[in-house]
Amino acid sequence: MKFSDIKNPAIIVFGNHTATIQSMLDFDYLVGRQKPSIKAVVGVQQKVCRYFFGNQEILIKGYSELAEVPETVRELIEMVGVMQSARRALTCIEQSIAQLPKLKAAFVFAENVTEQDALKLRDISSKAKVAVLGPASVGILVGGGWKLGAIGGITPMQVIDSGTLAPGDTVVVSTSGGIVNEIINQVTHSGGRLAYATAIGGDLWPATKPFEIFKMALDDPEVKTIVYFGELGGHDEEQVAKIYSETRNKKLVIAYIAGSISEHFDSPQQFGHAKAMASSELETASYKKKILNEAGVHVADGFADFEQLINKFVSKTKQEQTIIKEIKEPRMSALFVDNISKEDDDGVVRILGEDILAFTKDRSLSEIALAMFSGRKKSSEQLKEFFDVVLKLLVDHGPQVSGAVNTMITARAGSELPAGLAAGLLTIGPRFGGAIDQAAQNWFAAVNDEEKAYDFVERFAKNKVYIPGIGHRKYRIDNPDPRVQMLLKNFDKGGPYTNFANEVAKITSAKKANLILNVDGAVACLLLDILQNSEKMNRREIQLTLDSGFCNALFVFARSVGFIAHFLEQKRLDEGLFRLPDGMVISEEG
Amino acid sequence: MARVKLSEFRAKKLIARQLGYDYEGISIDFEDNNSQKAVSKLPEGSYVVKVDQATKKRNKLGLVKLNRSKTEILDDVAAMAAKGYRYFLAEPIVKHDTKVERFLALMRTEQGIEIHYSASGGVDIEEHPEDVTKLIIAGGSQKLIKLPGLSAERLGQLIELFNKNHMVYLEINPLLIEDSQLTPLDAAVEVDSTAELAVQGAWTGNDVRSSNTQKTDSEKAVESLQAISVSALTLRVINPDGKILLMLSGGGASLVVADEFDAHGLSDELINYGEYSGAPNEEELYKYALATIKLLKDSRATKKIIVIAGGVANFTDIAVTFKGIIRAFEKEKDYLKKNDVSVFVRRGGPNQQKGLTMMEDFLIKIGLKHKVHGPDVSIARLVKEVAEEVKR
Repeated sequence: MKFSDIKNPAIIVFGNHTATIQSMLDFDYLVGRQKPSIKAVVGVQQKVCRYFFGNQEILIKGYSELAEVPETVRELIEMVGVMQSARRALTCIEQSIAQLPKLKAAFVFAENVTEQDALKLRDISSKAKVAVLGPASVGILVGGGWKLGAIGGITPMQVIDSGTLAPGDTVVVSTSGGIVNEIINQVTHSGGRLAYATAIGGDLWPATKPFEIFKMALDDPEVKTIVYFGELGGHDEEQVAKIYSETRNKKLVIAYIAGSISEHFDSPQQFGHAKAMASSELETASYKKKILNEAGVHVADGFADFEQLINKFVSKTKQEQTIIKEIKEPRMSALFVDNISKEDDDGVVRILGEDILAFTKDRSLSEIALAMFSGRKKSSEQLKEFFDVVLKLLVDHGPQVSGAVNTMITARAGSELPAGLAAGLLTIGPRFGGAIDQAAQNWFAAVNDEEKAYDFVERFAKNKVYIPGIGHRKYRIDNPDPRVQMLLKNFDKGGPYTNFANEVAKITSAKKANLILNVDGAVACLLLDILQNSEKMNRREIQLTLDSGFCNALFVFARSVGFIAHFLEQKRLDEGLFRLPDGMVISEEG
Repeated sequence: MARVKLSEFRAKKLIARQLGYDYEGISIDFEDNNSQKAVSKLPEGSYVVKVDQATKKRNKLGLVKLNRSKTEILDDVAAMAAKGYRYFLAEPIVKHDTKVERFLALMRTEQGIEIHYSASGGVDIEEHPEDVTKLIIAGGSQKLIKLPGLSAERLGQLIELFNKNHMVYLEINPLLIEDSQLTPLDAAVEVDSTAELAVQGAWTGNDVRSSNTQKTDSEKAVESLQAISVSALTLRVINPDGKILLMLSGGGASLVVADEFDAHGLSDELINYGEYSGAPNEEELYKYALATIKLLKDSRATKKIIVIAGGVANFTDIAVTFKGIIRAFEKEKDYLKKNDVSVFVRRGGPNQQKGLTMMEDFLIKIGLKHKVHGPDVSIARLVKEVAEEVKR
């Protein structure tokens, strides 16, 4: 495998690590890529994550789990960046290997991954032939190609100054994430350019070992110089020396091994990186320098010497870094995200992306409302029909209900229509009109938690609360609600939610004859079945629809018609200010 | 972070719990009166008393006392504490035939768990490497292995103990095996410190022992700071009378800076080696800087230099960390001025402009000799400047 073979990667990032993600997108933009390499952010609650691509703000889709990313996206992904906690690192890579068929490379940013997890990480990634850098890696950068991780800098200025926007023939291998950037700068400021640079991470068991990257570079005919930074501890450099002394493709190798300071302590010391401790002579910086030197590597005495060696020997390139695109800072973030409609500069209004005239031409009002409420331009015939029927059924339920009363009182007080309509709408909540929403939430949770109808009823009985969607003031089991009968007859296809609601009603109506499935409960369960079976929504999409207030929207939209009607009529009749007659309000004192 | 050693007491407790018996030893912290009270609750009997802080060659150093009565335990502890030790272990002595002493060690390697076992163990095992059987159990392997005198079931339990507690090294020597009953006479355990949360209290940071007994107050202060921080803060003294005090950051860059002083032949002039990383907050940096400045004050060198250096941080906020250091300088400014301490800075990363300017303004304000650099000046050049200052 060669990193430079990945030309135009599609990337998924775990964890919304904003600075790093933005820097990867800036790199994409600065090398002239037309589209962002990052296709999704996983492990986040947000549905969209805001970033900039150049100077333009963009939205990248967010998902809480990798499995929620559409398969059409997953099958394109060649690389992942894992920037979640140490605890999640192994799982992220396991899932990526299982669910991303084209996966080639990854990096794990977390520090403090346990040794057992790190060993498993190495095991599964080598079996799957995926080049995983880390744990505790800042990533991989291919000169003029792509940037996976914070490597190379996180602000646009750092990225430009790092000189990595043009391709080259030098490879940087470093255990340290801080030093890798220092080396990259030294290479480019000395006239070199990067083939690629990798931060291995200073852990005891990196998923990819330094010698493995070293060998990859040695076998790559396009690479001329390898710059290697290692530390005391471990035995990686024995492998590097062995590979180098045995190879016939000698490339120029410049190396520095940090940690000679350790030899000034009486007993072995643990330094910052977990691997940075020399328990035996063979793990000291001086021993490593010696064997590399014997193998023919240019070994630096100190960091100043290292910089001079790079300056002197690094392969000079003719690839100039020309900045074709500019990023102007600070970039301004929009205040809202809105996909429903927009007004173009020429004044044309578009709804869901379509010119308003075209959008409304062949749609009924209820179809328009459905498309705009759901944010989906297309819906199944089943849902369209159901939505239309329910809207019609909900327009009014007599003048006695609290909302209508409020509207009429407001009209008679002389207020204008907006006040009258608002007064009516303000009563919609848990006791009036809100039952569809509550019933839907309950049916949905119970079916997905596989709760038994009997346990469900008992749970409500024990807490002494009514079951939303069950019971009617007048209708009884022997005198059923004709609206419910009509809905069930036309829309019940034996879906799990309707079955569950019917089972619940069977139990409750056996206790008391009026505890039947009412119109709210029926609308709720039928809607859920239609969303699941006809709209093919997954569980997360249905939950999102419910939580957005979709059921209340149905009621509010429909009932507004009724409230407006009552208001207009009260105005026409103009009976004057309404006041409760005496004796209509009593107090406890009598 | 890394591999750390557990106390023998905790190691034996873990082994006993896994194998299903009660361990009757107690741990004694010389600085904690309660643990001394625990001694008085022990039954009469014959005891072993030993230092329990990852010290090698305890027998040779006279840090193991055998056949002690209950009343002699605290005297032994006091005598050994006088040599600078703090943690001890007292346990009932186990009378046995040295012929039944065995040796067992488990270590975590890339290939799996490597097992070293000898049926004729004992303290002089190292002289008989030919007796030691070596085998590797690949990660996840369920295959049961039987060793002479050690049943597959017992070995399986020890492997479970090893994995469950995130051990990376377990040595039991001598190990007594009688009627399939295992008794560890001595046990040494190293664990993976990154797993402290994963083991859910089976062992904690309080069980970790280091053999370094001669810690300065500053080192102890940084250790207790580290114990409650999610960031990494370390400090070790090299030469208490050195000229150069280091405040370094970043795993790789810190090593590079220290090495560079070594390359200039100045390693003997370094008072300390110390790193902070993982985005510590202002308060932590303030306390950290105070602890290191105390070392500078204690040094008998006449010329004194503070070096604040590191690479280009990926995420540590330079302004935040520098604010902590500046507060410590403010507190110690009379000393710093009076002793003509010079300050050399080289650092980059998030908020570097703000941090560096703040530092420079402050050093100008209190009138200390200084050089403040961003990442455009290399680590090598900074160290060269300091070296010139030392030699001037």
